[in-house]
Amino acid sequence: MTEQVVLDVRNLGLELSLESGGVPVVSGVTFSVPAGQILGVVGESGSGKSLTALSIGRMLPRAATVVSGSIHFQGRDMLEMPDAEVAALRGAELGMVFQDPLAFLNPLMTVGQQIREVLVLHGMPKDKAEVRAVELLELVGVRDPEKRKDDYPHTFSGGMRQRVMIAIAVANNPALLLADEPTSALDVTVQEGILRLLARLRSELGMALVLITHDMSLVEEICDSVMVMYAGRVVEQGSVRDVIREPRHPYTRELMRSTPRLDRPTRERLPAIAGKPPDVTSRPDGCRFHPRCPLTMDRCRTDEPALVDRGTDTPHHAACWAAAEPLPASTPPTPGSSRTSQTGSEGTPILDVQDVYVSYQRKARLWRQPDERPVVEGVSLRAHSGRALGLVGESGCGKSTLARTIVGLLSPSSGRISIDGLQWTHASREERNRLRRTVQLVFQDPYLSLNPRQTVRQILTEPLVVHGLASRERRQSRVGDLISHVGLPVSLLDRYPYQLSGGQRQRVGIARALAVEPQLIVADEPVSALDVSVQAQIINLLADLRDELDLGYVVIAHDLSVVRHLCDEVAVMRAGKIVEHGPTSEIFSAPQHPYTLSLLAASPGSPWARPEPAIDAVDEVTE
Amino acid sequence: MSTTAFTGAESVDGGGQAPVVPRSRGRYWRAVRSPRGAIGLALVAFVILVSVIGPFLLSYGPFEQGPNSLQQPGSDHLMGTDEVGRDLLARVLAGTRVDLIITLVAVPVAAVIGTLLGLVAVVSRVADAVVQRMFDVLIGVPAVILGIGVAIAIAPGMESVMIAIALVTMPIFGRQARGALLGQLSLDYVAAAEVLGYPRRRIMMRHILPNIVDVIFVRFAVEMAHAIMIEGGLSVVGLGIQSPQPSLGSMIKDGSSYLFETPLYALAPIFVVLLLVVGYFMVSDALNQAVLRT
Amino acid sequence: MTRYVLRQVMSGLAVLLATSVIVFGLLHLAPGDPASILAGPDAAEDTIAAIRTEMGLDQHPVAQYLDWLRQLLTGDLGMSYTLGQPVSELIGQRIGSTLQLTVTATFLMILLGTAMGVGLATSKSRVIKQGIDSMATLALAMPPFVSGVLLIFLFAVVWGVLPSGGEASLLGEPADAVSRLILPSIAMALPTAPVLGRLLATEMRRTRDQEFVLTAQAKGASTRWITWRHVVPNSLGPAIVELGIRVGHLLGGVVVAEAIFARAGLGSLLVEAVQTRDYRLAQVLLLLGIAVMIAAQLATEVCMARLDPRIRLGVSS
Repeated sequence: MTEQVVLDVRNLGLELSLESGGVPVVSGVTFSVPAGQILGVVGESGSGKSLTALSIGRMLPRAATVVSGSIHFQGRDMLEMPDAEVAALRGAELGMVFQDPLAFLNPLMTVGQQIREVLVLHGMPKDKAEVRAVELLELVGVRDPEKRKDDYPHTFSGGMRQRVMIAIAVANNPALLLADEPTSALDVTVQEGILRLLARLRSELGMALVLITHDMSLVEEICDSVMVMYAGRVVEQGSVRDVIREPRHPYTRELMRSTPRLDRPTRERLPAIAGKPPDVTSRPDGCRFHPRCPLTMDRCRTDEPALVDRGTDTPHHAACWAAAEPLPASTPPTPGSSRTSQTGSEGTPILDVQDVYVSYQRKARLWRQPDERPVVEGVSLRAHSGRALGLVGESGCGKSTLARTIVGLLSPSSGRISIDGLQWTHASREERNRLRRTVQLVFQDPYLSLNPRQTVRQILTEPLVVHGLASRERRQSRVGDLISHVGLPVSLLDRYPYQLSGGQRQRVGIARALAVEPQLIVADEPVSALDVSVQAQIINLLADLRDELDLGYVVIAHDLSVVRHLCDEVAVMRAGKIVEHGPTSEIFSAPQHPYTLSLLAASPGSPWARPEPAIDAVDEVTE
Repeated sequence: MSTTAFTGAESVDGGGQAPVVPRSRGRYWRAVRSPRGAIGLALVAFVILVSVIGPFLLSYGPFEQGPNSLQQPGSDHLMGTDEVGRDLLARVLAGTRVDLIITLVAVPVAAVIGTLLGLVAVVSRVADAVVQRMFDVLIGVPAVILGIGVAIAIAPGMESVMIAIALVTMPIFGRQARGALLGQLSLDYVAAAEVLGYPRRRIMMRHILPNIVDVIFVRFAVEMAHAIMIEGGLSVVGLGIQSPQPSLGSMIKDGSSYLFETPLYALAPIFVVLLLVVGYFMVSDALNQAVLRT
Repeated sequence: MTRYVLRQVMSGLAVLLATSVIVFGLLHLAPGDPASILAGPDAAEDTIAAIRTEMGLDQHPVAQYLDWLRQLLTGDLGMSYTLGQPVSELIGQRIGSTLQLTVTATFLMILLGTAMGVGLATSKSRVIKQGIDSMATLALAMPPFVSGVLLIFLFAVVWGVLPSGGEASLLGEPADAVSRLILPSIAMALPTAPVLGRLLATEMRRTRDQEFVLTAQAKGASTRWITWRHVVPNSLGPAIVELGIRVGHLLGGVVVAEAIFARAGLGSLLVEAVQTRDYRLAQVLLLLGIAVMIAAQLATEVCMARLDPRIRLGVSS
């Protein structure tokens, strides 16, 4: 490391003051970023990665304080600096980009005003700032900047807003850019564009970049070095090449393995990390990962391992008692993946969607023409028992609408949906009841889909009562079966939804769907609201249930990699139409449609070349 | 309607960071036991008890005229007498009863009608638009002006005051009910219930209605206070309760002419108004805390 | 923008038209013969007959309403039968007093409300916040008829520093006029100011926690810059909407305040009109009040649209 170091953080400790007193959230974090380099900081929720980032610009929320360590930015001690000097650095030498670009832009100011503001705050005359703002918009790839500068943030698409945020952050040519989950609120193809922009700006402006993310694959794509955090501690850091090729900490390895990727065999069982990341208030003693670690030894339970250099020629640190040796690069497939025998079977057809159109209607009013907005335009699909169909597309493509139409929440304006030979539109009362029992929906946000006033027991008992599925005496044992079927302990039955974690809630949602013994399950983004390590658990659970109960699935996702591990067939949807449909392996090995290709290219671990212009075009379309 | 709502939820889930409030029947009980709720309830209960039991302990009735007008408080008349020699304490108690009766009739009626009108939102879009427009107007018009309108149509008195109170509070209940209803309907758990094939009536009665009832209950306490104020305003102006019938408002009106001679004449009913209003406010605060915070 | 304002004006006019029907209809809801009611309790038989023919009460109610509306639109507000004066003349005599009181009260309400809101939102001392909050709760519990009587009792009866009521000409005896304005305007502003204050405080706290404030911080802006450039503009919306409603509601307060403080304004004129069954006068006054209320709400809608591009550009969210 001969380059000039822009940021140097030593032994940083942060504390959060809760009602019960001060709780350490981050401790012993040490890293440095040389000029022009990109550091990735990876962790799940509660890992302390975002607080660490905020502390660099002295922007911690009121409840959090720095209790130990030092932060040097361009050789100056940030913690000792007067407020006014820190403010002078922010937006000038130190730029920041955050997750949700709409929330982070002032809704009452035009984007031009907001870019000008940061320029004027750091001493540029107004007329010059006006010109510079347009240049910046152009630099970050906003088309027609002269006109767009006078528009308000809500008129921009998600990707374009993030570009505006980046324009603000780099307006004064900062030495360091902090980007906190800059792409996680965006569609996959848009994410790709933003990442490329950040990488380009790094080389054009020569700035250093700290990229905070929960997604290991982003790190792989653009970072030079990486720091993995778990429960407030650094568990591993080193160059991206070393860490990706030879992860030394079990958490890093498990995190990488449990992320759905394109360069893995299809239909392979995802290696999931058991449990969930600990809350700030209940972190385990010893190594914080030990309750979830496959390699736990006695020592891990009591003593906290220090970060030790395991590198051969470049520094590569890991904090693990067991990691003296490189971990085996790939472990044998997890026991329990008994799926291979199934792949050949065809299954009986249960869902037949033919040329379905769905549209939202707005009635005419005094000064408004009646308006019919088609959302799904002529979709045909089939799903079979024991097999899963993936329906992939980006937000607004109509996939959720289609899901809701299949389960009978919406009616198609034309076309035919038949489920096990029955149709919603021509069903008698009794047939409707049968339909309701045949097809079930699993929701994206498990919290909103559970009645907050009911206990888990009540939630699971109600469908049994309504459909008369179990006699009074047998009900409780059936509820017990259901909850253990989805891998939850019976002790959770008397909890309310808010007392459960996200993954547990989603399991309850699945158990409720299973209560009526359906043949077809439509899952609408079933994992996108969950932590990465928990996502893999839910995907595996869905796969196991399909094989055990011979269920048919329609799995809706915005992300091809999730679908890959679960689905036998994939349909790619765009702007209300299915653009490509085929067996999973074919779609992934030989995509026909350019849109599928751009989706694939944007997914983690993709072997596909990135078709440059197509992506920007997509960003404009989603607007 | 479809996937637009998830940007916020997409940030990864930490599990169990929702505030810890047991969602059970005990919530109302907890509101009552909280300091605010207990004090508020005690204030209201105190006023009710005294106004009901008080008359049995007094030797004068509210309409009984005596020889001494505007007498100072003494052993004979604990609070003194008014301009025609009636016992002020007896009249304050009688006036309080009138207020209690008026509000306890008008507000529940308004709550029921308002809630039903609010629920029209699910029945018909046209009816909903009409009802909403009507609510807009009723909420915009000040209570006193509305009451005066009613007093033109029917002679001022208990009925006109009750109708005025009902007209003022009804749209407030209606909007609350409608908001709660639409809020619940947009949640996925209602869609889940529908997909599970629960009958619509069951979804409405078991899942949605309890939430609406909570909202209305919490609002009810505030509107009781509001109703006391409406009666007061109308009677003070002279278009509410008419003499010789006492009410808190009409006594304040009459008493304010004798502030220099017998200040208690006006101050005593004012004190009762404050007790009731502050009491209701505290109850509503406590309910709000215990029942509506998820 | 112009289209937006135009639409708001149209909808305001529609509401006014609808209420005019109701106000006109009130008379026909009342029991008894409208002509004898209109003429007043002591009117002679031939006066009643004269009214009946003049007002065309033998005609269809719809025709009567349209006739009335036509008269109002051409500026003919009619005659007060009990006072024997044209309604427009009566309004002209009384409007000054009411205007003074309402304007002062509105001003006071905004002042108190803003002070309370900013104090609550920005004060770091827990004691000060608690103090403001308790005062706000108490003020909320005091409608004008309570606060009015209490103020008279304290300032006029106990301390004897201010007059208990009445009014004086603002041009002739300005000092006296102002001293007589103080108590009633406080009485009117007191219960409404805390509503505004709390709303502003809640909104400011909410806005301060919004992410774009973090962005402003990341730009290197000072706390004061952030408060005035980002937090305050984004917090005004709900308070402005509430202000519009509250200004409308002050018209109710003015009726009460005029009764308690013995002021001869439009409010007391309205009460007299109803009490003497001078319904012709009452109808016009009611309609006037509602028109003012609609105008106030309209003004806030326009303010909101100026403030927030999302409303102006018609984004539904």
